[in-house]
This record gives sequence, structure tokens and C-alpha cells, in this order.
Amino acid sequence: MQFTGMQGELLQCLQMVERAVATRDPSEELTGVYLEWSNEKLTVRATDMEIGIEAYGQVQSSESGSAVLEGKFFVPLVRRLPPGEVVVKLIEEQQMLEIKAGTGSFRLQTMAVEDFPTIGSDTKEPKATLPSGLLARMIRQTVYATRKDQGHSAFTGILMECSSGELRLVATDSSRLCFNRQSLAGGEDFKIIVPSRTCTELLRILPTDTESTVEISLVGNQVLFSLDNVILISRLLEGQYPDYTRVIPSSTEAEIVAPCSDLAAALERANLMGKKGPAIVTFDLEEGVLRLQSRDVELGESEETLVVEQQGPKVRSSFQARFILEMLKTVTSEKISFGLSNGLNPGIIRPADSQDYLYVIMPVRTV
Amino acid sequence: MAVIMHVDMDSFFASVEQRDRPELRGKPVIVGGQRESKRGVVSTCSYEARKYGVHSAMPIAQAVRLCPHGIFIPGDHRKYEEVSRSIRKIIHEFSPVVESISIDEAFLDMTGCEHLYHSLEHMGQSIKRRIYDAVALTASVGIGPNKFIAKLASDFHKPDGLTIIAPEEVEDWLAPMAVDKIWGIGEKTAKVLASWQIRTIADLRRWPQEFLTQRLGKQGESLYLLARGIDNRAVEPETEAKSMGKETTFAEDVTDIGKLRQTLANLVAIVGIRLRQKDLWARTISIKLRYGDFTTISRSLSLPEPINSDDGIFQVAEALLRENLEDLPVRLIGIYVSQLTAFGQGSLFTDPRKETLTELMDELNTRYDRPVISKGRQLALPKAPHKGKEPT
Repeated sequence: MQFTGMQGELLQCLQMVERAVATRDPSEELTGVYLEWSNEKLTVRATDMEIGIEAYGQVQSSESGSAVLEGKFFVPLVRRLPPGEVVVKLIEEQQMLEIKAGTGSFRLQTMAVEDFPTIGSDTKEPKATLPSGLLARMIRQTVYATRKDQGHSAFTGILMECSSGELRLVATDSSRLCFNRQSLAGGEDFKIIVPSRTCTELLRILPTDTESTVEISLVGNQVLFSLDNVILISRLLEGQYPDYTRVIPSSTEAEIVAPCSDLAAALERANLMGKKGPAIVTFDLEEGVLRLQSRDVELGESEETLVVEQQGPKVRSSFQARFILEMLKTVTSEKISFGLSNGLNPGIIRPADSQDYLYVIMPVRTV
Repeated sequence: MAVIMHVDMDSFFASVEQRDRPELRGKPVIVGGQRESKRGVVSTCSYEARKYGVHSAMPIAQAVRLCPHGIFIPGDHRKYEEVSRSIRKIIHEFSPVVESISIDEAFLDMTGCEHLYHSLEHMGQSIKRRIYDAVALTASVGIGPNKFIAKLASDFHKPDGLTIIAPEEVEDWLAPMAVDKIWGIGEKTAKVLASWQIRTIADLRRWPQEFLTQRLGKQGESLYLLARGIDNRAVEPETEAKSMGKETTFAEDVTDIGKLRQTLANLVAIVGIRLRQKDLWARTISIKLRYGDFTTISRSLSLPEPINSDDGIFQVAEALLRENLEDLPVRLIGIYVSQLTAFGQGSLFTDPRKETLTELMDELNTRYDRPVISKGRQLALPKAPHKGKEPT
């Protein structure tokens, strides 16, 4: 029972599933990586019961077989093998897996294969199909606003909502909120909350080319993302997602349009003014001049001005610099629009040429 | 030689009141509580009231007896805090090394700044003038070679005084003063010293260090030095508060979780208002529990963004209590907040009306200097339901 494959192909499969390998598992079987080969197809699978990933590759095999190997050792080994052919052979009576590549030969103890969970077997019709690059972008433009603490509150995930011919992704940690939408042909309605970790893993496996598509389907309380050579299944977050439409302001007192990179660069400097806590930057906007000020009692202070296109009266509001920077980094347009109001009313940032990506940010109250 | 300046606002709260209400000028004003107040104490009184023997920390009732025609005012701490902030700003213009000891006094290390002034007299007058110009209140200033002398000096001519003690004058100047002028000598120590015929600082100097140390321990050593005008304590710029908290030991150990919860709500209210008065927010909330057998635990939770509302703090504290209460009865319960920040991140999903409510409650509770309005959770639950009425 053996197969022959290329080191690159094998490694690619393993890297896709690697992060789903359980790091702590009382029964230990989930710390393994499942391999199955038959009909020239290699299946690699790992799951920690929160998420599961299955990747497919091409190999030559005469006889089908399967084995589970300790992920912590097997993946680093394959990573270090020389490029070229790898011959993998299961020695069943000894419960060993023999790996031959280049001049090396390795024998690894295998783990129990019977109990390794399958994933996504009873797949249903996809709820939505969309370009994988598009989903990747939408996730990148929301995932940073999820709440980072441990726990399973709805805020730790991304709301994926499909209705009225569009897909909407929303994330919020209650200090800011990302809203992203794309029109989508032929999707079915659904509304799910996907853990942010799942989304981060998705970003690793979603190809960014323009051809690939990804299918989203629901299986019980799980969501399945299917691509040509890999599937990812994940538990969903339960609970009610807050009514985000309520917190997106329909207008702000003033609005500026400014080059994204200039604002980001100025904020990067202002963001240094936070020794022990986050840097707070005050936006002082008057007659087309935006003054950015930040101050740290122990470090010092910074001030710089940007000339911007302004509409509306003068406003003053303070924000955590990091929150704005995180958003600006995900903008691909040259210019951004930033709607600001006085005091503790939320600001709203979006690419100047789009209404489909909105970022609502609450100011901070300072002395 | 070090140059230390002590700035002490003259009868601060009372002066603020007299400044803002001309009809009070020249009258005995006593800030601290209403005339009827049974438990209030005098926090400040005007110089006119001092003539009647009224002084701070005296029970209001006693002040009423001494000065029946006095004008008693509960006090507006928010206002005093604001004035104090303006004064602090000025003080910081004079020296980078400032130690605020209370709302109305501070030490400034002026060492090295002397050359900016014609004389120490000029230095002292400058700060007095700046303060008066800004807030229309007088301060008494003392300048000396260390904190001990500077503080004694500011107290030497009050109000509106300026006393400068040069290093070579220190010993003579101190000699006739009563020993209880020395920091740390209270009534008790003064009595002990009196029993050894030590009444003035000059008396104190006659005793060798060994004698004082043997009888008074560590304090004896410091008395020996202070009597000679030696004080090596540095002016310590305020380090920001790192944590705040409040705990309470029950008169009797508590087995009722409802009672714990209610006590916690009351402690949260105290810490919450303190945080908000200082314009601070906290990222870490901790509770402390001491069980009947004296085992003590403390458990905390850090939040992604700092908070300072009672509701927010209570929500975390109550969850900590629920998850960590392992035993009964409980002897002591406490709440602590730490990782303090000077900003509060606004929340998209909080009703702004809640903040208005908090502000209003704080104002009422501060104005009357005692809790006059509280949340339902702070009240004891009735032992049995009310008769005849269905709860609605």
C-alpha cells in the first residue's frame, strides 16, 4: 500500500490543513493528519472539531490505503524534504509509515485510523456560489473588526447574510463596525455567524485568482466552503447578531475626501504616541484643513495637518488611531471619504468611490 | 542645595464659595454638610469661621455649637475639582517635578529653576500672582531646602502668605516651634514627648538619636533628623493611579448570595463614581472574596475596551462572583479596577441615554456628598413579598 507524489504537492495539501490540526486533544487522535490515497487522488484531512479542512492532491497509487500521522512531526518533515518524488508506504503489520525522498528514508509511527472523523460527507446544494477572490476580499475587509477576546459571543464572528440578491458581511466589536456588500446572482437566503478564526483560515486557502469559485453550503449547525482542491467546514456561532443597520448613521455633520495613503501615513506617526495604551488621535477639521493631534503623557505629542476636500462645518472628534489604520489598510481605492460629527457621534469611513464598504467608528471620550 | 516650594490654597472650598457668592465674603463659611447633618464633618471653613475654633475634620454638629450663625454648605466637589485642575495646570508651568498631595496643595521641586527669577521672593510672588490672576484665589507659599521646611513655611503666614527659609536659617527658625508641628507627630506622640518634657523642637534636639530610636523606633530616628531640619524625601511627581478598589468586611459572615450581589452593587457604585470623577476608565475588573475560613481569592477579567459605567463594571463583577464563588459563608467582598486609561471608547450599541442617566446620578450623589440616588440592585431585597400586592 503505497503512493508516489511530488514533495511540493504533498506539502501544499498539508499546509492547507495544518492549522486545523488540534493542538490539544485529550484523546490525541485529533492531533493527527489523516491521509487517504486511491485512484491517483490524495486526500489530506485535519479537524479540531471547531473547523475541519480537507485538501486534495494528485499522486500515483497502485493500491488504496489510509493512515493517520502525528501532525506535529509529519508536516515539518515533509516541509524539509528535498523537492522531487516522495514515496510513501504503509507497513500495516508494524503500523508504520515509511517515507522515502532523495537519499532519506523515514519511518513514522501511525495512529488509529478508524476513529478519525469525516467531514462534509452529507453536503447539500450550495446556498451561494461566488468568486473566491471576492469572498477573500470581503473577509479581509471585515475580519479585523471582530472582537478578539476569548468566548463565543456573536461579536467574535463575521455575520454573513445573503438576501435580496446581495451578500453582506458584517463584523463589529462594538467600538467599530465593518459592513461589506456585493450583489450576488442566484444565491439563496441565509444568515450565519462564522467564527473569525474560520475566516482567517479561509483567507489562507482561498485562491485570489479570478477564475476560482467557492461554494457556501450549510450542514446542520455548520458551514461548508468548497473549492476545487479543498473544503473547509466550520462550526457556526450561535446567538443573535445585533441589529447593525441601526448603528450605521445615515449622515454626518461634515465629510472629507482625502488620499488614503497620506492619511494612513500621518496616522501611523500619530499612532506612535501611545506608550502604555492605545494612541488617541484628535481630528480637528476646519475649512479644508485637517489637523491630527495625539499626545502621550510620558512620550510627548504629535501634530500634523492635511489639506482635504471638505463639506460641512468644522468638527472635532477623537479616535483610537489603530482602529482607523486597520480599516485604511484594507482599502484599495486611492481616496477615502470620512464622515465626521462632533463629540461622541460615530464617524463613517468608506472608499471614496464606493458605498459597498462602510466602516462605522465610535469616537473616544477624552478629558 | 535643593529648593522646594509648597503651595497651599487658603481655605480652598470656602474661598471658592466666597469668590462665587459675594454675599458670603467676610462671613464664617463652613463647607462639609448641612447644619442638620448628624454625621457630616467640616471639610474646610473660612478664616472667619476659624476664629470661632471651627477647623476641618470637626463634626458639623460641633461646628454648629461653636459657630451658630455660620453658613453651612454641603459643597460642590465637581466645581472644586475643576478649579483645582486649573491651578494644577499653572503649577506645572513652574516646575516639571510636582507632587500634588491633595486637591489644594502641592510640592514643587524648583531646584535649578532659581536663576529664572531675581530671587526666591520673586519666585514665590510669581506663582501666587499667576494663581490669583487665573482663579481669583489666594495661596500661601513656603520655600525651603526640603519638603518638611517648605510645608511648615507655607503654614507660617496664612492666608496669602509667602515664607522663605534659607538653609542657614532653618535651625533657629525651627527651635521655638511646638513638636506637634512635625509631620507624623499626632496627639499621642506629642503626649509621650511631653512626658519627657519635650515640647518644642529645641527640646527635642537635646536628646541623642539613640534615646529617641530606642523609645520610638523608626519614628524616633526621623524625629531626630527633622528636629534638625533634615528631610531627604524627594518631591515625587504623581504617578498615575494604577488601580482603585473598595472592599467591605461583613459584620456577620454572609451566606445569602443576594446579599453578596447587593453589597457588590454598592461597592461598584463607589468605585464607579470615583473612576468617573477622575475621568478614568478601567480595562481590568477584579473581585476579592474572603471566606469564613479566611481563605481569600481574587479573580479578574480584562476587557477589550476600558469601561467606567456602574452597569458595565457590575456586569463583569457579578459574572466573576457567579463563576468563582466556591464556598459560603463570605466574610469580605471587594471590587478592584485596574489598567486605568484616560480615555473611554464609545460603544455603538450603548444607548446614549444611559450615559446621561449616569451623569445625572453622579451629579446628584456628588452634590449631596452622599448617595441620594441608587440602582435597584443596590437595595436590600425584602425578606418576604409585600402583603396584598401582586408584583407587577
